[in-house]
Amino acid sequence: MTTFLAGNALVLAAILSYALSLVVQQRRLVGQSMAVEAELHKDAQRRAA
Amino acid sequence: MSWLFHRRFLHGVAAAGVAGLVAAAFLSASLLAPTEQTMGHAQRIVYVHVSVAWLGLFGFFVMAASGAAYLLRRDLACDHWFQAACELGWIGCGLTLATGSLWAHEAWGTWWEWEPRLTASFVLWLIYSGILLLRSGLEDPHQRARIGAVLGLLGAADVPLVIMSTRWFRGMHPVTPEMEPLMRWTLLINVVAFTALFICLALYRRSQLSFRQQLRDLQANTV
Repeated sequence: MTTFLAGNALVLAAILSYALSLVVQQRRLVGQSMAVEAELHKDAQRRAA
Repeated sequence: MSWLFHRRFLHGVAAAGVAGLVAAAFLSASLLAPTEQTMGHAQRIVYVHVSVAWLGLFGFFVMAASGAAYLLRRDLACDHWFQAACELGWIGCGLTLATGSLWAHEAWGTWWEWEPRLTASFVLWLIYSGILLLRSGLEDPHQRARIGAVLGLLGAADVPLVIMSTRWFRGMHPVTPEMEPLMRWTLLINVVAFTALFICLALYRRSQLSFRQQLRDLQANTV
């Protein structure tokens, strides 16, 4: 049973790590997009003034 | 009722469904499948091993199809599918080698043997790794997509070798072991669960890569 459990744990750990890395990347991208949006907003305000 | 079709809600339902399927796969392999007489409980690793091996091959099918589509249409959306499938296929192939090694230790008394199926699978993993490494070093998205697509199509030649190696060459790896009906059902549940997981993660990664590309285009235009 140890071999079976070790194999399953390995598979689960690898897939969860990948999924977690995607979530972290997504949060970083959302942060970047908000920064770009803020920059564009500031730029538009400067032009209007 | 519009909340029913809200994107986040649908994503949540899909993620919960896939998690349920994977849990069912694990439970069926642990409790439903009968214990094999020769290897005992260690044989149960075969269900997850075959499932991740399928993902390793399925990844290459998706890569070859999306690579060919990119070369025909020059659309970066195809390359996003390619990248997602390459990452997931690489994980599937690596896990195949790892779980296979665990099984081999129990069945053959050795962690590794340079026999045809294992060698062809290891070469497939090396091809995946090479494509991922090369792509990570290229800045231009179209150059990255073009080179990746060509390598993906060339590397796909190893897939039939992996599948047929147990029939074409004499080796230690089992060809198609006979299974009881309950064992076959367990294997089917596992393959379906892992395929659903692959599709779910690939869809998420593809939309993320598309978002990243849009963001880079926007940043390039604002600078």
